[in-house]
Amino acid sequence: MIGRMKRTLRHPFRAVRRLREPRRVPQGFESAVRGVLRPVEPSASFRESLRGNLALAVQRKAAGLVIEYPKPFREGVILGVSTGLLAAAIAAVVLFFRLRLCEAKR
Amino acid sequence: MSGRDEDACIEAAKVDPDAFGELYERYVDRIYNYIFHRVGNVHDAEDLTSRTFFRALSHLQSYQNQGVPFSAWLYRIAHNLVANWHRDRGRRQVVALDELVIRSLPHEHPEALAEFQDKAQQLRAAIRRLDPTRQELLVLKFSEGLSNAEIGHIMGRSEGAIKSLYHRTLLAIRKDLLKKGLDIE
Repeated sequence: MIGRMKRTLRHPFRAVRRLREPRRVPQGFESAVRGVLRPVEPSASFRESLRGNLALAVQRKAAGLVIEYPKPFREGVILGVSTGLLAAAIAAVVLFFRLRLCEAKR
Repeated sequence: MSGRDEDACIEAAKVDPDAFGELYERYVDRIYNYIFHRVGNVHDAEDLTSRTFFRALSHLQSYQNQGVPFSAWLYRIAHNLVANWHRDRGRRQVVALDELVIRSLPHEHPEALAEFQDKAQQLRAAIRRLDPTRQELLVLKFSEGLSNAEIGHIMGRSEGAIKSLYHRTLLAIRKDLLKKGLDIE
């Protein structure tokens, strides 16, 4: 009972609080938000580089080839190192077995 | 380039991929700007801008002007890539615009500069706390200078809904800042 009364009393206060909240945004505030979101431009080198890559992709597309986004440098390095390590591991295993085979023959 | 010229250019690019260069020139700055404000750093902005144009080139055949401008289609691609980027990295957005703010201020008043920077920093933090939809709206509105109708096309909402969301977004930022004792008038 008391709880219900408390809730009933609380709601009008909430409504009053909501009415007190500012509903208009000051002009200066809008300008401040605009200020921190000012336009930026890409670097000329990036723009040129992308234009070149797209021109190549366009040629590939015209030749009926599938266009693939060039892998970023970091991914390329990781892929290259992984492939190298895998090849080295396979070579080591082959070498190991060949040596053992040679020893067994002797 | 008028809307009609643009349509002609898009149609030309579908059969003659060389025409894609014109579209690239027209939109690269806007797409980069949009992505930069969503990811907050140059490296990822460049990577995602490249991906946006590569994807646009490979899917150009599927684009049809049905009342939705080409720019909205491009922004949609960029938006999806940015969303994936955030999902993959689990990062919040970082709006790195300190340099821009400093450049816009008179340097002869160091105290005023420090105060302004502090306010700008808090404002950026409040923007970062918004949900991605609201952040996207602010970037398109302020950084791209798009109208509510154009933003509506990109975000798939009505002009009225964008207007309302914009107003509520500004109020939410202001309320957030007021809670922290900062009143920007």
